[in-house]
Amino acid sequence: MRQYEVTFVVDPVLPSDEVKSVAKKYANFLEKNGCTIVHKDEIGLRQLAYPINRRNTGLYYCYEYQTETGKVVGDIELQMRRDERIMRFLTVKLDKYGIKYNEDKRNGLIAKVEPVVKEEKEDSRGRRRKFVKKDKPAAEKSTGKETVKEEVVEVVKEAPVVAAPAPEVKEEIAVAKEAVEETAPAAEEVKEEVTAPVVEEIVEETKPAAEEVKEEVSVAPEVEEVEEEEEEIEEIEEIFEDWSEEKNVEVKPDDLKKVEGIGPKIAELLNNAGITTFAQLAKTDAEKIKGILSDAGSRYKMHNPTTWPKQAELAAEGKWDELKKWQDELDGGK
Amino acid sequence: MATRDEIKFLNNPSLSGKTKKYCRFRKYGIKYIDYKDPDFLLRFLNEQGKILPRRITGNSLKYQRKVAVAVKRARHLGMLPFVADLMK
Repeated sequence: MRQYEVTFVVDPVLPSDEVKSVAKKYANFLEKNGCTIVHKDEIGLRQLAYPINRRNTGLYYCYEYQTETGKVVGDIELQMRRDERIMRFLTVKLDKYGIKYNEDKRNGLIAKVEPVVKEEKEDSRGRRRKFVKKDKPAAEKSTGKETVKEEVVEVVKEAPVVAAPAPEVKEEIAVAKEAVEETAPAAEEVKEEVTAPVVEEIVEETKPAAEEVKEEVSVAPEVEEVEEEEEEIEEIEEIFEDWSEEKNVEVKPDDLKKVEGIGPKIAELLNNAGITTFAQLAKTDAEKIKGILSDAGSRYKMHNPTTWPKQAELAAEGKWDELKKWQDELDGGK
Repeated sequence: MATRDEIKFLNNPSLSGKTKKYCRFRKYGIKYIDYKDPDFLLRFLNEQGKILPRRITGNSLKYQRKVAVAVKRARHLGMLPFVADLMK
């Protein structure tokens, strides 16, 4: 059963009975030729985008019908072509998506798009407002941002309780603030460094997390006062507002592929086993990694991961120069 | 903490603060583009009524073609202009 949709534009200057008779004529024609009309849509008077036959408006009709073969399409088009009262017509064969779309439209599941106003709208990304159903992703996205921000704020508040990361955080923030005023590359780099530790806190939220923060930043701890905490939190919130928009909210694991010997497949394996950052990889023994590899299958068993933890340690500390030099020597993760 | 000079990245950080462009049809699972809806199709045209290129709109190839087909149908039916001026 094929489904077609014919849209035609009738001359508006005709008296309304004649317009109605035109519409009826084609509906009858379709039914006579053995089609089942699914829907008759009288869109009504519309302004034309350009003059047709020296007329600036037209009456739009849209019929959706089903037939066994497509023979009737040729006949109805021939009739419309001969009819002088019809200015334009178009027949479209509907695929399953088109059929579904029309059904949804009739059931009111598709929201009307408001005409674009010239002024700039807040939603600069131009998110689609059309589908009422699909508005959820946009809404979820915005709530996602907020929840992560809240989590971050909470974690930061917890931080002073655990060891003493507060001073480090403050220093980072100070650096970050400077960076924001400076050029973009510096800012990006600082952001990366700061997000990495704090993001990990979200992931783990245990003492080891605080230790990792120390590792990555490696700042000499200083004793700070509690009053300054609140300032930090505000500053962090400010910074995270920008970041969360960029980073798209999700916790970013480290790119384990940077370690010589780890490719995309093995990186996935390690991620599934719970090792997502360089610091984590640095802590796992080579034995344990070997176990993960051999569990995954004989194909992976042959890889020798003895150097991976050490490489990961260098990566976690940000010693990319040393790492690169070493990797040049390593050649294939041996 | 290492200074800016000491830190070297394997992949350079992007200088432009660009947001990742995506195909809105792919992302929201929209499979059919209605040619009878000129208000929606206006998003894909510029002020002169021309169809915007894919690199600007971010559409994937499949849906860019569908958009183009829909726009051309709408133009035929008189819902969208072929040539315009200061349309938006």
